[in-house]
Amino acid sequence: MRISALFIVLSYAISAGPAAFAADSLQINFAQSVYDGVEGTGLKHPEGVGCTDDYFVVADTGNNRLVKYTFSDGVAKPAAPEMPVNSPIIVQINSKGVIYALDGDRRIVIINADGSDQGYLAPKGSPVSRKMIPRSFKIDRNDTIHILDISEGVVLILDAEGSYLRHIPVPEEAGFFSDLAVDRQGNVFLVDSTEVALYAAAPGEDRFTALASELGEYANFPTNIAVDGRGTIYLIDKHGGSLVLLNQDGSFLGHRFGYGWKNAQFYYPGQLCINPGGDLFIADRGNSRVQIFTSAQ
Amino acid sequence: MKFRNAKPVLLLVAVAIFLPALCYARADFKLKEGAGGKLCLGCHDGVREAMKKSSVHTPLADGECVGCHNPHASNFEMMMASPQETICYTCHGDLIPDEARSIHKVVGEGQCTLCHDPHASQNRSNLLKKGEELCFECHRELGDKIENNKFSHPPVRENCLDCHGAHASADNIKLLNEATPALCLQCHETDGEAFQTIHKGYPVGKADCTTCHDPHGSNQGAMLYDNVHDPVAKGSCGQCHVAPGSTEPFALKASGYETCMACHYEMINDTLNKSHLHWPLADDKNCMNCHTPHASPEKKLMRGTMLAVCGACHADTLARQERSVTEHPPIAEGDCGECHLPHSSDYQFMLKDDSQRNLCGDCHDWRGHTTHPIGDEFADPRNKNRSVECTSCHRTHGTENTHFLHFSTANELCIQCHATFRR
Repeated sequence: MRISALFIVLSYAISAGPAAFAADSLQINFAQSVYDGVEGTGLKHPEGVGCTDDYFVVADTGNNRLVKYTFSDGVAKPAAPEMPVNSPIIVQINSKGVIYALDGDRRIVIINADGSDQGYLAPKGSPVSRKMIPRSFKIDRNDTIHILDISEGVVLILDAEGSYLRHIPVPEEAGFFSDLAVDRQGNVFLVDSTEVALYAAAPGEDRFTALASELGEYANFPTNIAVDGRGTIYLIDKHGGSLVLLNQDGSFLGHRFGYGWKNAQFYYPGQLCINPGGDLFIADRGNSRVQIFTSAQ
Repeated sequence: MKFRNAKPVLLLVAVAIFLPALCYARADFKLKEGAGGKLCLGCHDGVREAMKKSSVHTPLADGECVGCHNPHASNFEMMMASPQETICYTCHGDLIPDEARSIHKVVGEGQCTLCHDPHASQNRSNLLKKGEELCFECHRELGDKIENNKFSHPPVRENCLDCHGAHASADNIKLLNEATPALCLQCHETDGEAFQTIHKGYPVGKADCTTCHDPHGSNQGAMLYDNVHDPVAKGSCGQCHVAPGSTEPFALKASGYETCMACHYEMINDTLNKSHLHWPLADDKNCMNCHTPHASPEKKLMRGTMLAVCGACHADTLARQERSVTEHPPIAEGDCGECHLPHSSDYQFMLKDDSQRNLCGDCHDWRGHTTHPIGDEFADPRNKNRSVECTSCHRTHGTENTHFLHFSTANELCIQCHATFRR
């Protein structure tokens, strides 16, 4: 086991106690599918979803809009107004309710909680990423913004105001990185879609190391990643239409769901979001819907 | 766990298993003098005749037929003492270096008899045919190309082994005897004035010659690959590169796709204006992920065939097609561009058209294929946000069922939507 993997496992062991190692009993149950936006307009190829305990926002890619849904007692309801954004694909929500969305022009648009437009995210004071092309981005619980900038080959880390904090180069000898995730402890994870591998950088580390390099038996083409509060890593296998679960050290934990059209099946899924309460929201792109799951241990 | 070089490993394991057994068997025969081989020739006239040839396999010459064959009984063809794929390695175990960079496929598979006669031959090393004639038995396409090239590379016509090893290479790709440019510099000098002039003063003697030149010959002057980038053909290296006398003479004038944009402005602008970008286009290798900048044997300066280039990242899709019971010709033939746009698209999956009916209809007469309603105006009964499309029944990259259907029987397929007919 590599040092960073050991560090990540130890950090969970210290912070979460025995629960951190009980992920094998993780239950993920289908709750509902969401098909409609405001006024019954059906979702079209949604690729992204961001979430909190009280609401979630869908990147309704094919309809060029963001749709907000309230989420209370397990019931999702669309809430006006819809927010026009050109082909959004990734959505994040910070602790103040500000919505960030990566759009089809490869820019990160910022929208206030009330739906008003705040403009585009422009990194301030960054010595890298002057021609930033974000492939994905994530906002952690401290509102720190982590951007996977593929043009420069770095993960750019900005504070909530968009000012440069630091950057971590992505591994050179790898395939293609599609997504990143940040866990509660601040560990940053990168998913390599073409080599079907996972990399991690512990808090403060200035480079990524391989956490799991032989995931090809479990996933075809993983494109999205999320980490829950227990430290379980979730990979969306876009081409396999399934969810792959990994332990904090990158070891295989389980496979859930599969390719198809029924509930709890996926057709080329996109972004996955896990809220603090453990609900999972998955943009089921090819099925033009968002599926919601509950998780329990 | 992936086993990318599993065959050589399995081969060595098999040798390790069978070698002791083989040696034991030979000792265990307790043969009388001559019974190990000379006795065999009394019946096996063909082998006796073969021994008149100029090159005879050592065990046969020594009268040791039992070195390879079991005289009594065997589970293997030709009464071999162990499987044909491993028996040669009993004596020739050092053909593949540890951690070999490249291995001749047939050597890795233990198919030695594709090149060598196990008994005797008129050619050295018991080869079935002479030199390149033997190589072109399998590498026929390359042989034809070498035969028909306008500009040939003389050593290639003479002997493949001048540049390539026959079995494996410890350090080099493609079984090369040495890496380029060192291999090329064994014959070619780079400090002459003519060489410097034609290469515009750039120190290409330190670069990989095969990025521009086809070592097997080509139809372009100077054996450049058949498709040459216009600035290279015009000798306008400075259009993209800094001056040859610079500290980094091969450095580009602009970074990333901005270099390409100087000429291909309209195409790149159009690419970036679409909503779904093929992401590798934007990474630090950008256009060079798929294209090569100087010359290529492939059209559009592709790094390889479309199948190879796309498959370098989308190996899972090609693997799916290989497993598929029915082939989808565009994928099997490596023409991904038949359905997908390689740079960017305004449609999901980087498709050329938003309508599957139109896209599939380019090749398939769907009206003749089925009377089933297909198209945007027909909602999928399972999901109101989806319409009935070709992919409602078929998975275009392949399935384990005929006609790449999602399900194995018509009944199972149809009841997905027509649930009332479920039996």
